[in-house]
Amino acid sequence: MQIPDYFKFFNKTRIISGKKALENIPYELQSMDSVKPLVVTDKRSVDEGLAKILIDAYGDSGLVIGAVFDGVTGYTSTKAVLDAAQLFRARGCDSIIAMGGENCAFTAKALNLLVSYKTDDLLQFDSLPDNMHLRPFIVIPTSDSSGRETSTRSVIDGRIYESDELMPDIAVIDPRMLKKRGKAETILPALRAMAEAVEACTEDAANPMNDSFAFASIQLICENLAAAVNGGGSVKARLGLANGIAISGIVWSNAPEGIGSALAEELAMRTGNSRELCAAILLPHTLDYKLKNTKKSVRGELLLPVAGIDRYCAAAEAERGLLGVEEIFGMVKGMSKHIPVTLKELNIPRYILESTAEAVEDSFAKMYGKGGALMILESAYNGDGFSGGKK
Amino acid sequence: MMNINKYPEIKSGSKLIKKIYVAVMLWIVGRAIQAASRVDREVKEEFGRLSDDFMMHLHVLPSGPGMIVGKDKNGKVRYMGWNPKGKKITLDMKVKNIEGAILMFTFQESTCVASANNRLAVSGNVPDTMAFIRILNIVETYLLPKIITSLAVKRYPKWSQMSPLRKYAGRVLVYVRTFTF
Repeated sequence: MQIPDYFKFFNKTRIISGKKALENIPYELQSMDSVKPLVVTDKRSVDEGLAKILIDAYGDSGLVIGAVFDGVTGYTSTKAVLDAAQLFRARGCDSIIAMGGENCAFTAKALNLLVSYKTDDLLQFDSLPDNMHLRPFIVIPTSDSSGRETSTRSVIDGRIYESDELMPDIAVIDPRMLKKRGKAETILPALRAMAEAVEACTEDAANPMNDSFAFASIQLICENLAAAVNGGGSVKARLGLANGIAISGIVWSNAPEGIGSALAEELAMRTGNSRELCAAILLPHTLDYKLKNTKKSVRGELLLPVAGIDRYCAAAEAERGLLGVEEIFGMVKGMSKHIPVTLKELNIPRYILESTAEAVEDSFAKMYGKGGALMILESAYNGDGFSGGKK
Repeated sequence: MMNINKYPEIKSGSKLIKKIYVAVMLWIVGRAIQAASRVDREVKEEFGRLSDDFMMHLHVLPSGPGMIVGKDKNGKVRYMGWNPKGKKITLDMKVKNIEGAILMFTFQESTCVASANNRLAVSGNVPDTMAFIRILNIVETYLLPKIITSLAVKRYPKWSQMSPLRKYAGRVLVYVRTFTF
């Protein structure tokens, strides 16, 4: 196991997962001295009946839900945060429940800053300390979740707010909130979450605590993704996947940004494609490049969560890294019926690849060599097959 | 300005039927524990090892139902109703919500699984709690047919642990005492 000379790991989020998990929310809120939460969600969750399930789960608790604010849209805006803050104060709420994808969680986190510090000015939180006293905050991931709900980050109007304290106190994962989604909608957030977890444990700064979370996340996603996509969307598979995705947010918060995430972010910004899609396409190619071209290569332990204990034990120690990358290549390629697996399929012109590579080159040139970023993008563009570590 | 009236306050509803079901189950179990403490040697011994002021309150948060079983001044085990007012509770077992109680009392989850699933919160000492769980297992064995008890307890007692004679004779006596005096 890899242990750096110095490391830090922080996790504030408790995960409550499984049958009737939602019914625990009133008890958990009361144990944090809260009785009246504001639910922050989006129209889709309300239309799908998720808000009703939550309200029913509140039955017999004797508590009151301040309001169900469904004003979160596909773009997290300051206006939505201010509206939610106005509602929070008018109803005398004392805690926040975010139900839905990352946009709901981002809005709820920003709302928490405003109501905890009794202000309407989000800009004053440009630089956040790690010892803030915020209101109790619970996240209920749904099938729209990307993993960022459990992270330390909130993005409002393109501005990033980051602090350890922005992690939710509790993530409640209940199978009733995990509705069936289209195949691409299931695959993309899962692959992005996996990409982030894989990246976290293949970085040089990986530490044992984050590794254990990352391995759990990768294993949950690898074991359940195919079943969630093909197996008629079984509840157990969706629950496993949702747990893997939620854990990836904690992993991501404790790892430095890797070249894969940076490229995916930059590429998504320049092309308008989703971050999930870019991250999913780039994942195997980033690993392949790291395997071939970097001194430390890819850690052999990666094979364990990806392929399971039997394959891990059967493989020679020196080959484990290579086999792990091969598995991930196969896994992403196997999804080609449902999602694009090369940048070529997205019709991205070459000059965008070059400018994207240029934008992230400086930060990673030391680790990945000059021109590494462009090589990863070119490999992902052509969809070059797995070359088993050979150039 | 946003129209806040668009987002009304929502009061939690009621789950009356579920509460009535759990209340009835707790009444039966409470009375059956009292009966079993007079009928079954093992239950008697378990209670004998507990302190003289033992008083257990098993209830559903936030507002019941519940049951209280404890020892009276003469050291006899008695079912003492549902109201903890004026009683000195030494072991407080809380089921966190009515749905958790329904899972337990419809035998979808055994007491052990419910504890593992974090559905119970206990204030009191651990040996007393474990003793009470063992008593509960014996009482359930008396009250329910094997097929249902197997779902509610961790291990159904073998013949060597509870002979058929003891089981069936005990069952009759427990039922008679539960519903009569």
